[in-house]
Formats: sequence, C-alpha cells, structure tokens
Amino acid sequence: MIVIENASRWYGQVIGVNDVSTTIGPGITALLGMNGAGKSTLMRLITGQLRPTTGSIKVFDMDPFANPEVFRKIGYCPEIDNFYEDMTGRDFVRYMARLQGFSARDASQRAEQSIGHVGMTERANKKIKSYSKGMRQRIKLAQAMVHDPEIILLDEPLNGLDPVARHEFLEVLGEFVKRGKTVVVSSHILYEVEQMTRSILLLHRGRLLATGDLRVIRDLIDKYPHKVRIETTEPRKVASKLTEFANVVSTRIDEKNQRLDIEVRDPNAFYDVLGKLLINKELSIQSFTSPDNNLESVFQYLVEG
Amino acid sequence: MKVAYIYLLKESLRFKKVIPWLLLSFAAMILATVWKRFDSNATQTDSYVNVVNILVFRLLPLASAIYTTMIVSQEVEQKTIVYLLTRPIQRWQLLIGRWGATVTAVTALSFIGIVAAFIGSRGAQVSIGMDLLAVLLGALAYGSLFLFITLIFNRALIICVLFAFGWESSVPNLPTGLQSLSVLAHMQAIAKHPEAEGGKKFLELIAGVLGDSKLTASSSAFGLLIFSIAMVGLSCYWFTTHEYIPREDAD
Repeated sequence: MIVIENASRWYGQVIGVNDVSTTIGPGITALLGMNGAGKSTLMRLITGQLRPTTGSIKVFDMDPFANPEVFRKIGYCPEIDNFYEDMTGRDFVRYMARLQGFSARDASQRAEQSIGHVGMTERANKKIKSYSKGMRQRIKLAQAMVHDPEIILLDEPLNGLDPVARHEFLEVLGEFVKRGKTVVVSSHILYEVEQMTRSILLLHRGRLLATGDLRVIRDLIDKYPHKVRIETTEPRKVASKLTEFANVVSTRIDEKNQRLDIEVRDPNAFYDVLGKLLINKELSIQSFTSPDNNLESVFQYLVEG
Repeated sequence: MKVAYIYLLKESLRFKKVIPWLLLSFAAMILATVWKRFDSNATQTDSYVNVVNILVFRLLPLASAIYTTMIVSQEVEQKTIVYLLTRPIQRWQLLIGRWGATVTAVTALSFIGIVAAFIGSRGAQVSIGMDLLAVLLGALAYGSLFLFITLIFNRALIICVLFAFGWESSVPNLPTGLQSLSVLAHMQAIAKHPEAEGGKKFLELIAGVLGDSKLTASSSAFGLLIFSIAMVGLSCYWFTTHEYIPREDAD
C-alpha cells in the first residue's frame, strides 16, 4: 500500500528524512522515534504535502503529492493542535466531509457517524475553541475517518488524552484495523506504541534505524541493566529487601536519604517481585519510575552499541 | 470548487469581519451628505464622485489585500492548510473557489459603499452601474494580483498594502503613460466620472485622477479582465506545483 524507496527530504541544510526505504501494509504500523526523528516529515511525505528531495514514495502505486486520487483513500490526523476555532466540531467534520466530495446530506450523515465513533456526539455542537485537548484530538480523528479511508495516518494521536480516552481511542483503532484497513501511527513514547502494535519503524535523526517487531526493541532494552528510581523514606530498608532479589545489579541511595536508584537485569521479573512486596506491605515507598524506560536509551543502545 | 467557495464566502461575510467595512460605508454616506460643508461649490454629483473616489476606490485594494490573505496565507499561518491540502480536490479548484469567494465578498462590500455614497449625495447625476462594473473588475484584478503575491511571499499583506497605498497612490497621478500599470487608473477610466467643477487638486491627488490618462473604458475593462485571468492562471500553476506547510515547519 505504501512503498518508500530511498526517500530523503531536506529542509535547506537540515535533513528531515534520510534515505528511508520500507513498505507498509495492512494493520497498525508505528513510527517510533524521539522528537525531531523525522516522523512528521515521513507522514507529510506519505500524505503528499511534501515531495521527497530524492527517492520516491508511492501510495497505492501513485505519487501522493497533491494527488486527489490518493487523498480519497487516506485520512490524516496531523500532530498540530490547530483548527477553525470558531466552528463547532460538527461543522468542522461536516466541512471536511464536503471537501471529500460528499453531498451536503451525505456529509452530514458521515459526520454524525464519525463523531459518534469518537464519542463526541453530545459535545459536537460546541465551538472548537472551547474544547479540551482530548476533545480536540477526538474531533481531529473524526475528520480523518469521515470518508472511511483505506489508510489512516495519525501523528502523535495519544497526546493529551487521559487514560479512559486512550482506551476508547485504541478501541476505535482496533475496529478500524479489523476491517482490513491500514493504520500508520507515530509516537515518541514506547509504552504508547506497545499498547497499539508490535510492528514498528524506528526512526532516529531522519534514518530508519530498525523495522519489525517491537519485542526486538524490548528485548534489547532488557538485555541492558534497567534503571528504577524509588522514592521512599526508608531507602536503606528498601534497598536491603530488594537486593535479596538476584537480578538487582546495583543500588545507590541519594544524599538526602529519600531516593533509591537501582539497576536490574530482568525488569519484568523485578516489577513482579516489587508488586508482591508492596501488596504484602513489606515495603513502604511513595513512587517508582523508570528513567531508563524511554527511547533515548534504546537509541543509545542501537547507535552506540 | 463550490464547497471551497461557499465555506470561505460564509467566513468572509461573518458579521465580525464585515462590520468595519459596513461602518466605512456608513461613513461614505455621511460624508456624501455633508460634503458641501467642505466645498461650497460642489454639486451633489461632485459629492458622490469625490466620496466614491476617495473612500470606495481607494479602500478597495486594502479590502482586497486583507481578504485575499484568507485564501492561503492565513491558512498557512494558522496551520489549518493541512486540512485543505489532504482532501481529494484539485489544488487549482480549491484556489479558484476560495479566490472567487473573497472577490465576491470584496465586491459586495464595495457595492454597499457605492450605494451608500449615492444615497448620501441625494440626487447625484451619475450612472452607478459603471462604478459597480469598475469595482467588480477592480476587485478581480486586485484579488488576482494579491493572490499571486500571497502565494510566493511570506507576510504578503505588507507587500499588498504597500502596493495599494504606494504604487496605486502615485502611478495614476504621474503625467506619463504609466497609468496603464495601475488598476486604479483603469477603474477610473471605466467609471468615467465627470470632472468636478472647481475641483481641488489635493482631492484629485488622493483620488488618483491627476495624471493625463488616455485609457478608455472598454480597453481598461478588457485589460483588467485579461490581467485577472492571467494572474489567476499563474497562481493556480504555482499553488499546484509548490509545497505549502506551516512556516516554522518549513524552516
């Protein structure tokens, strides 16, 4: 459906996408990468807003740049949070449906359906400028789906959504994929992507660093010591308890005696044990985070070895 | 094209957007009514002609510049251009539809100004039909020229306003054949206003009728029409072949 061959895109002296070649087919594919990795540029190339400086991009065997035939089959949900603020959500989606070529009547029907899919029916008559971030994301998704496209491209779609809205959003995506459609979604958060798909394109500084199953990336992370930061008033006691666990590689208590940094070999197993200790009230901790569980460390592993 | 036209026309004629122009029309009517207080020799026709020349014809390019930015550059600034350019509508159709909407809005607002001045002058012996034609062709010409400017330059409104108040203020008054390069001079030729009795030079300067124009109504009308078609054609070509994404993203 989407074939990218040696595509590069330069913005003057800055490279947005560097010699990317890949094929994207049905199902959900995630473009994973940090901010500035080239995800949005790749999306814009696929959606025909930009032309590659070199190489080629084909969507349904057609050059997507300013190509209405391609736009009939794709829906695009951009990352930007900009709208026609004085329009109501309903009018906005209807307008987009009209631009898709539907008659006024069909456009209204499709807009209603699409708004219903994203759970905005009751709030669609309010002006967009009064919408919360989550509502704006939903209405953006509604406009992308209004013409029931074959491919839907979502640029950082989970930004600003609360957990409930995320869950609903993922359900909508799931239904879409069940109908044999293609979804391309970009994100810079590994955890988000894991909730959506296992098929990824890993971008870093414009280059396609890895493609395939997300488990490969996850395994790669797990191969290296995983950092966990625990906020607690009893760091020594907690450290002592956790070091009984064989996969703990090192522990370090901060100067204020309020924080414990530990490194573990098998994070999943570690979190299982930590959870049990907390449920059994054998440990007293305020919070725990994993500063290591982000893409930056993955890229470090991949780029620097 | 029709959808693009209708939606932008609705947006262009929103009350908030037209209120300044309606106020100016009201001002034109008041000015035409009280003109004699400034110039005791002026006839009712002079009142009408002066008000139309100074308020309607001179402000037409400003209105056109402001409205033309709504076609593309405002969408780029607001980053909403992406919603338009990822729809199955040919770019040239989108452009012509939206351009048509702004020309309609500017023409309609100018018509209101002309009618207001006519009512205010109470009995001017003129055919406002030619003024309406001049305004229509002027709106087409300014609209198409500014459209092209907005497509190729960032912050095009400044350039358009400089053209409206720099070029269009000076060229029609020059004692040369350069008048044919001014839209305003062509509008004056189409309107063919009678010369004011004992007309004051500074008013003629503002109105852009000091120059020795040899333009005829028919050649000017034809010229503005051809110019508009050529500029819109060029704009369509440009818009179809170039990328339009929000500026900071392009940077």
